Amino acid sequence: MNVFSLHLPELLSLMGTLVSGLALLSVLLKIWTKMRANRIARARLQEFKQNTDLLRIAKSLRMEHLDPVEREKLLRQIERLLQGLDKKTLEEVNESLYQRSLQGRVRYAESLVSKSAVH
Amino acid sequence: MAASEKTRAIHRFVQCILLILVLPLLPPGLEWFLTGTVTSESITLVASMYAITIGVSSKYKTLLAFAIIVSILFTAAYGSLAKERADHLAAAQTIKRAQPSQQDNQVVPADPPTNETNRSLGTSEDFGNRMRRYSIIAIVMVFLVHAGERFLRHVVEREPFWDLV
Repeated sequence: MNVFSLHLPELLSLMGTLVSGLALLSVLLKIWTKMRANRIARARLQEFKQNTDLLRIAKSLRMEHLDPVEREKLLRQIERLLQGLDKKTLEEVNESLYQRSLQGRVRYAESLVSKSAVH
Repeated sequence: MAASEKTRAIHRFVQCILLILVLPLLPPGLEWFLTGTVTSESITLVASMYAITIGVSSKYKTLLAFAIIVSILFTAAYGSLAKERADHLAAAQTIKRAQPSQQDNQVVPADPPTNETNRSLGTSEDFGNRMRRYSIIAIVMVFLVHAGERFLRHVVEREPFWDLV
């Protein structure tokens, strides 16, 4: 098709059609980007949940009573999972663990005080 | 619970498609239903109005910009078509006035218009078909663009649609 031989209304309509095609490409790109971002966010959230669950379980276990081989295995597993996290998530996990550790110390202190009061 | 939320989201999307995208196409649909065809002027005007009305309901600035450009181009196409039609009618009236008065009551067989004349006047069937084709493609593109955006908003992002309560 020779564009220069087109009639003015036809040329304008053709340009309009091409622009609408560009708009369609733009929206398809947007949908693809958005869905990809959502998928990545969901996967990261799932991974984070698994990791924090594992850490919580590990923390709640009396690690000193575990078999040393098992304990080592578990620690390695936790370490490997932590390496997969990004910096921000890792900081959040650390903060969460620190808070839990503080709470644990407070509870321990309270239990000591109550024991001494009984005696 | 999650499944029902997804179903609701799909319902919202379908409602939106029907109300925002399908309903405005009723006038050309009626024209086609009643006359069996849609003139190139009508469909060009519909493409222009459809693009701008759908564009302003978009939340994405890029799509709004595209819609404005499409609308301007089809408005210009419509204006150009209308002007040519008016020029054609004026030329026909001038020719009629230039005829001798005694021939006014006689039926004068007109020369069949050549394809080139029709094309220059914007009246040939081929030209009309091409104009219709471009306009319909543009309308379908605008429809798909906005349907895509609404899918993103109502199904992926779970945005409510017309929560009137």
